[in-house]
Amino acid sequence: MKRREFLKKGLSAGLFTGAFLNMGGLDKIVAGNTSSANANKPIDLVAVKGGAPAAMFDKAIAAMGGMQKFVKKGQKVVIKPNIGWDVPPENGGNTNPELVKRIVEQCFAAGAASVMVFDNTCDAWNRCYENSGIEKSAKQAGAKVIPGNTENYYKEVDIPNGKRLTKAKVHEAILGADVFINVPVLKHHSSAKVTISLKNLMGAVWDRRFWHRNDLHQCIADFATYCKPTLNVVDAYRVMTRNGPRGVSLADVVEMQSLILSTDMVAADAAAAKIFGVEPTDIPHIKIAHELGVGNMNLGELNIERIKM
Amino acid sequence: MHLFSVPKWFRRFFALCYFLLVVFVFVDFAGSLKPHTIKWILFPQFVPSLLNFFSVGGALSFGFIIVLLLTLVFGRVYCSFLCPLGVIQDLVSRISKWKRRYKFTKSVPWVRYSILVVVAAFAIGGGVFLLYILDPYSLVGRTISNLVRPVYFGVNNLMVKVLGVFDSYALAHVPFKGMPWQVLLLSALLVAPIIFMAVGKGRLYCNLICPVGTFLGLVSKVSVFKVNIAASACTSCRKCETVCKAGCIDIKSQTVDTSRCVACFNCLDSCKFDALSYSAVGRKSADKPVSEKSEGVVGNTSRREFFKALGGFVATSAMLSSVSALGAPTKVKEKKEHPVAPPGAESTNRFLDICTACHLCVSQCPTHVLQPSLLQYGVFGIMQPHMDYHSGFCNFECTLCGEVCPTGAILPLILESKKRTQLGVAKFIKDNCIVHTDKTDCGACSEHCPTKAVKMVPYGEKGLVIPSVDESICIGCGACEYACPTVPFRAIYINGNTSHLVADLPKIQEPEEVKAGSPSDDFPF
Repeated sequence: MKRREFLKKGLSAGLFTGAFLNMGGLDKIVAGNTSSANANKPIDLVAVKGGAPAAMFDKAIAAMGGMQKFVKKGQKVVIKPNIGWDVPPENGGNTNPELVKRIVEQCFAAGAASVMVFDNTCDAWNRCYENSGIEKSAKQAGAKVIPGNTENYYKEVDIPNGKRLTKAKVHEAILGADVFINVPVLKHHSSAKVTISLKNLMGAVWDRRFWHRNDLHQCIADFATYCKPTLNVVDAYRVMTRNGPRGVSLADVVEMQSLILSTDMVAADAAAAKIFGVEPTDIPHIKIAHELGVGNMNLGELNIERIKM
Repeated sequence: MHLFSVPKWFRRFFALCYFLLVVFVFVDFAGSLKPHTIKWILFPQFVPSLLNFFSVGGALSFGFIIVLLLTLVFGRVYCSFLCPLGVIQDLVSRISKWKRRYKFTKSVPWVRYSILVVVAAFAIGGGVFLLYILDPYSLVGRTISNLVRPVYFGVNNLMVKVLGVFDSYALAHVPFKGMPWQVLLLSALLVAPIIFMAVGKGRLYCNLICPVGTFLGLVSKVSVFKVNIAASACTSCRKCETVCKAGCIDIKSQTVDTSRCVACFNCLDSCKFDALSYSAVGRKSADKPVSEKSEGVVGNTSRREFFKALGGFVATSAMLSSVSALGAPTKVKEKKEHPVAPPGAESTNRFLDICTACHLCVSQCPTHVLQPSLLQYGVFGIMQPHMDYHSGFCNFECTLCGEVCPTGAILPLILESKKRTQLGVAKFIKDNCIVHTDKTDCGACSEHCPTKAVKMVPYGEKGLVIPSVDESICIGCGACEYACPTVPFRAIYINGNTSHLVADLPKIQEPEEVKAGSPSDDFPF
């Protein structure tokens, strides 16, 4: 590193730290920052950027206190990535396979008895599983990649706090699991505007048509009152910025190399929406979920750990 | 034992193995066999190969020529070794009565020759209806696809349940999608008489009706190898006659009607006196000359047009029966003027002129979008497959149907051209759309659209978005129609193109300017 470069970097870092120390809570208003979380409070959300998908997850989960905080020895884990489309990883239509693989590995390292991976896909399921690369990478890490292609795999549950969605058929793997890890990919979405954690749960149920028919945004939020994943890992490594959720060409994809980790779906979606370039309040289902008390979309009120790699 | 038992057992072994392979091709839903392998397995099937030769050509369509050559040398070995319907009849007559005694039946050649002439005349005129109803391969294809496949699915699904008890997901559940009951019934009705005949009369279908059997029978008259009876050794014990399922051995005159002999070789080792031989020597000219009568039947090829008008009603009546409790029923009926033929059909007429409705594509289609038609193509197109967008949609990345089609009715397309082949175009009915009726977001159609021909555009003041169709880039894959949640009528549907067109490529927009997301930027929160 050249001397001048070194000085420049050191100086800016110093300035930033100084700003943080001096101005306290001002970082909530300032658009960009890299401040670390308040060590005395539990961390609500970890945001990482600038690394490979698996490496970013390692950093994030370590900051959260390690996988063993969420996965206990002998527990059954189910991971629900987005495997909706028969497209290869570079199209950004599905969750990054390397990320899924690392999450599976971390689960086993924490002592998980079994890890299952599934999605209720939009395109032909086995083609999606294969082309997305997720089946292969998850199996390599030791996970069971299970089908979700017919109604038989889904059991009806009540959603007592749902406004429009009062019943849904949920995949049996989720109902039988101790730990549920939601791993959406951040994408543009033609009808839901963006698809992140909340929207990803549409692939955990059978009858999506009902959701579309009965106020999509309300149904997404309603389901979130029932189904709260243990962890939400938002893959924002390759982000489809338009023509979502399937994408038309590689020109729709921007490499943002980011990852969000949170136990709070609404918070994760609010942060991811910001990365996408939209305000969380402009996404009706995020707003409704916040109002229903599913989580907190006001990032300023959260204890956020920001990591740049 | 007799030396001649070798051909019989070889035939039994070969025929059964090959038959089981064909059955597997038609029931397999897991894509276990590569399309190319399937093509080679079905290579010797006479009618599809013949049609393929004239519609496409190429090395894979020479099967019928090989069969003809084999017939010229060995007689109708096709009927006993390769024809799946022949094997089914053999199995049925074998199971129904273990030690059956057959009798010589007098030949009634005018029936089969008339049928052959009529079937051929229609087929040449472009009407394959009679051919596909009678062709043994297609008949069996439909039987397996429509009647055996559901059973295979059922067994698989039962195994899924059993494995589920042990927390195993080694097998996946298969949905019973499409499968119109009328077609299942029709398939059963068409094969039932043949099975019934097999119970009592062995290979009667093959020698009375089957156009392939009749044609190969003509060829086999001049075959090199034939079953011959040595009059000097024959004691007229009739043993051979009683084992001849084709009923073609006449002991009274000590002759074999070669044109009806299916070369099963059962007779050879039945003779205690070695009077029968399968050989090129000692050829007798015992066959009576056959006088063909064409009966003056002329192909009337315009009949399809006449019945086409009926077609449109069927799809809608099927839909009306699926009204569910989801929301208020939609009121505007889709105007489906033309059914949708699969990608690679080129045009509906071309497709209908070649397809023998063997339902291999129906069995293989991974999304179950290809389904046997009822009256969508008219009465004389019944069971020829169409794209049923209520049971699935055409997978953008898939070209399987064209790769397996044995007749060339569905041409193989390379993926890039398949992705631009416009089967039809999406039509939007705003008055059925819930964005319009309920004022809530939906967009299921646009979500599934692979080319974004269906785009969401701003609608009203609430920040809602509603579909808008760019027909120039629409390929008619039906993803929008399949996904649309309104009932009984969809708010978006595909109107088929009678001739498939080439859609424009979606405009590739410039890569978007990275907003907050550049890796080097700070976090936007």
